[in-house]
Amino acid sequence: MAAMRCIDFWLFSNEWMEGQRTPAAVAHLAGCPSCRGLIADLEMIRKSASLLLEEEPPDRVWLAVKSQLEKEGLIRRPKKSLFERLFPARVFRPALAGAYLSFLIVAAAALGFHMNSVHSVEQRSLWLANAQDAFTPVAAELGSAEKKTLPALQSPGNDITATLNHNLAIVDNMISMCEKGVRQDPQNEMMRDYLYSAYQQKADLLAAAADSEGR
Amino acid sequence: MGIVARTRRIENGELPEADAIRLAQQGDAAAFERLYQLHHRRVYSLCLRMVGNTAEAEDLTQEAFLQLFRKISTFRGESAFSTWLHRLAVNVVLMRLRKKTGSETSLEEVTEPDEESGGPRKDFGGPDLGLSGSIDRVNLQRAIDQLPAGYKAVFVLHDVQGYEHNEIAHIMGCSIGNSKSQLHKARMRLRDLLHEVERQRARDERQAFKDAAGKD
Repeated sequence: MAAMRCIDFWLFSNEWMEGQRTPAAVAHLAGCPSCRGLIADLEMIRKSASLLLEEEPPDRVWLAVKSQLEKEGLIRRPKKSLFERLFPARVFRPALAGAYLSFLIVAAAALGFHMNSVHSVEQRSLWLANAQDAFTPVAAELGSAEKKTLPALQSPGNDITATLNHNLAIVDNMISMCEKGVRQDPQNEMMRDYLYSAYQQKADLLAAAADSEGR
Repeated sequence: MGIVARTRRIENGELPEADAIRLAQQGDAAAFERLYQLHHRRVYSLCLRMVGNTAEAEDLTQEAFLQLFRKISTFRGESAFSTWLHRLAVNVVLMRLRKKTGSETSLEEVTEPDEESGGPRKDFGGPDLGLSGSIDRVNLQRAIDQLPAGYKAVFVLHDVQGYEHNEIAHIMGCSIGNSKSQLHKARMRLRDLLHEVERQRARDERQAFKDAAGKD
């Protein structure tokens, strides 16, 4: 067998680096410092490359991707369950839990009443009077929650606070109009629905104010 | 699985890749984010090693993920998701490199004309320069930057990211033999470039020594 020359070994070096060994190549390498240098260099390059660390892109890359996907309508937010809609996590603060619970009890009673069509006129009037009474503690608890959230609503020079105060003023105005309407005409279902929504919005706004204070 | 529980698993980073792919195909925002979290480092590193520039690597990473998410509904799982994603990313990078160089050549042809014959550079048997103990990371990246795009892609995928030749063949759309050959040429080219760096350093040191001697 003819001895391998440097040029032959260089042509074989690809296979060598892939793990192939032949007696001729092994023999040549044993006696050739130049070809040993070649293999040592190639091994060094391979090793050094494997030590190059993975890098972390900045957060703005994901934000840009997300924003573009939203623009293109490719992603959607997960739908919230009924439970999540009724009990948004941010609303579960001690200051608001009571108001929310009272509110939900009234709402559940109202729904139950509407579903049962066999009630007599007397029963209906009686229920409406009770429902009207039931709204009173809800309003009171919302008022108490509002007092507790007052420091957050009085933070000066804050755009979020200003917006919250502005929205609260609108909702308060709506509540007083609806309460007046319900008092004048307890059987006005639309007015009660409006009042229901207004209480809910106020609870949400107070929760947002409490959240902004926590940050 | 309920929406609440599912969302929590995604937020906690527990959602398996297969589930994230299925949900992303339905347009679920959290699933997209999970897939991004699973693969962004590898894709960004690939882009960075290929272009050697952080701003461009960010741009390319963004483009690769946008293409991925636009096409995710067509992913049928015939190949590994990461392979599919890397194929997309490599194509995005190579397209950019081609635009920059104005080259019309295909992926498999992105080699230097004097090396088309397939043989290594003919300086065998010369003095053994020997790369010193370790290769400086910056020098290595600079040398990688100078590789032709095709060599670079195979080298980064194999030696930096640890892909096997069969996977690279799939990613690059070439044969396994081609992948092996491109890798070897890349390493040989890098060796030349790194030796040039060492020679330049030696010249600079000699010059500095001469300058210092002249002052004395």
